[in-house]
Amino acid sequence: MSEILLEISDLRIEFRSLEQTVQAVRGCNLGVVKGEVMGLVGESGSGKSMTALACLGLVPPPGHVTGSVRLDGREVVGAPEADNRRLRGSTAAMIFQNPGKALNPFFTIGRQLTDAIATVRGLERGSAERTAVDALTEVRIGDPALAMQKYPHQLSGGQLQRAMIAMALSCQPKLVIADEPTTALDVTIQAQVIVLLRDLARVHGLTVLFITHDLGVVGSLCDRLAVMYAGRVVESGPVDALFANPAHPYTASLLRAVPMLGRGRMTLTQIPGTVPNMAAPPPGCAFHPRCPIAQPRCASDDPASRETAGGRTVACHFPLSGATAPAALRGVAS
Amino acid sequence: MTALLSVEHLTKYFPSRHGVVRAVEDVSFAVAPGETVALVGESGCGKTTVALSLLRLIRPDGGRVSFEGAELKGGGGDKAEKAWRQRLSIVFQNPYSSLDPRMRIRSIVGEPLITAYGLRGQPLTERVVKHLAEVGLGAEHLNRFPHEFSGGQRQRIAIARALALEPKLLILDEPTAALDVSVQAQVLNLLQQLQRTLGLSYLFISHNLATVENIADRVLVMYLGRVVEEGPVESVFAAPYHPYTRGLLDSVPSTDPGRRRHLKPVSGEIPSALNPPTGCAFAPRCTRASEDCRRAPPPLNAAAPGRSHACLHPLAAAEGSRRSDADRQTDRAGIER
Repeated sequence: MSEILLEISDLRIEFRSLEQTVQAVRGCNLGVVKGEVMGLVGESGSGKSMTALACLGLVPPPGHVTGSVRLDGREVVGAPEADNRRLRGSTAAMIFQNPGKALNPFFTIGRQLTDAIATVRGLERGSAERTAVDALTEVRIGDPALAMQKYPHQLSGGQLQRAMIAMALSCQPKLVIADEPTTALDVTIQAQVIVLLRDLARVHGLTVLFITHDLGVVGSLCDRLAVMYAGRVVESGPVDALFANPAHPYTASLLRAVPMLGRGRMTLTQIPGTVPNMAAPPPGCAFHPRCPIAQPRCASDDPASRETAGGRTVACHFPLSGATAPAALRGVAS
Repeated sequence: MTALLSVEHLTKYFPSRHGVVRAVEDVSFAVAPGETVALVGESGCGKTTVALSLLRLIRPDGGRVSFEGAELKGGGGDKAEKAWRQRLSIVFQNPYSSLDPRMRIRSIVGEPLITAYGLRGQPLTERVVKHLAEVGLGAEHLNRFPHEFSGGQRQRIAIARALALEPKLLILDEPTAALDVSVQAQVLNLLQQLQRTLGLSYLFISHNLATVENIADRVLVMYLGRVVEEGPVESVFAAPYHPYTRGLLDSVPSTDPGRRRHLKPVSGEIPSALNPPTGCAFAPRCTRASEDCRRAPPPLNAAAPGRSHACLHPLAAAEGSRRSDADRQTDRAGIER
């Protein structure tokens, strides 16, 4: 049995204010096995970024976190801040969507990398600096020695994201959490970064939790994926099987709602309605108001996540199977 | 077929502290009635500058723009520009910033009608209700504010506003890029349906090739201010001539098996528009570039019926097409890996 590096069970994150309580995450369950690249997919407001932040104990106040996140055998939720700080960088590192905001504009790339490496790995400055140059070389930055001397505003978005990846990897974490790291990049640069991450994951045997709203990116990078909707994982499994035969109507609709290159001028399947307001999520299954196959039961009865064959899970009362799915919801791959 | 909109040698330079930014250089194209033409390219390629120049929201530095054969002259004055803007309209990318949060939907959609025709009272309301109905919104929304709507509904309102003067051409600047994945299809399908019922032409600006494939008839690929390839979407995407088009297509991640691990990114990054390479702007990233490429930018030349490209070493049909045998082999290797 493969070892589970990250295990999230019944994670709940609430933001309370005077008027309302926003339930950002409502019972998220997810396991990431050592050495795999796991995609976490969802639309804005699905709770995917909050789930990622909770893995590092970084949910901002007044966020109220309950449930459990076990990272490399240690509980993160409710742990003292000092313990969680030790976890960050050494056990798990994070790559953010906007590297321009994640780096300090007043210090050179070299200084920021060296500081991080020296702090996390306890190296003295000289060897931390050499490690930093090596890391920049590994992420294929044109001239690593030159990049060390640059300030963030002097590098392009693609180069900055490479520097962020270098910083994350140089601390030799067991888990890398990447939150939409390619979303802000141009198409050709996004492809470069995906290929880089794919190669690095293979060479170093990295475990990656990759958060995105782009199913195509998941397809070209990940081994497994989990689909989040309204604060909860509605379906998970190996990428190939899940894309070929989605079991949850949300996943199935999403796969047919997004134009994919090579499919020509097909009419896209419309998902009616909008993503739910998380201050007042629908009762029962949160997707039922938009679901094409919803039954009365779905409006009252919240489906629990169940394991099915082939290492898959689905949280639906009426999961689709390839043969019985209505034509509009059948998998796109055949 | 006469063109509805025709653009010839459009040029726009922006002066800046660091020198001149050549945002758009010698761009020519035409849009036929009922046709959807897509402008694709990465950030900084000039696609939005083209759109804004067409609407005279910025003043181009050179070139001719005509609508149904009538040219818009640079010094035509406010009246000519006002008349011009009644024939073409724009839907911006982000409906969260393109709708004034203090205006009711009635005023947002009605404003162009008041400005252009001086409509008031009942006739104004009737027109606004009609255009809201075209985008699938009911009259009950008239007195609401933008914040009461979701992103998809806001984009519908922006489309209704663009339709208010009954233009023949809509410029769509990344109209789905800011929307949630699950509502993008609603907007794309609405646009296609409006085109059928109202006989509209679209100039569709996007960086998303899959969306372009879904909606457009013809495509212009732009790189650093210039058009590098043009043709029908189907044939350009199936077998591009220009190595940049090939690179763009190979950079699009897909969920389809067989194409999933197929990414073949172009190396390098887009050069600065402040200091573009002397020859072909793509030459520094191109594996086929020769000395000639670095001398002068290659002109856009016709290559096949309806197709043209600006490349001295274009890909042959077999190389350009995605599914060559060698590719299939790498595909398989990629999947096994």
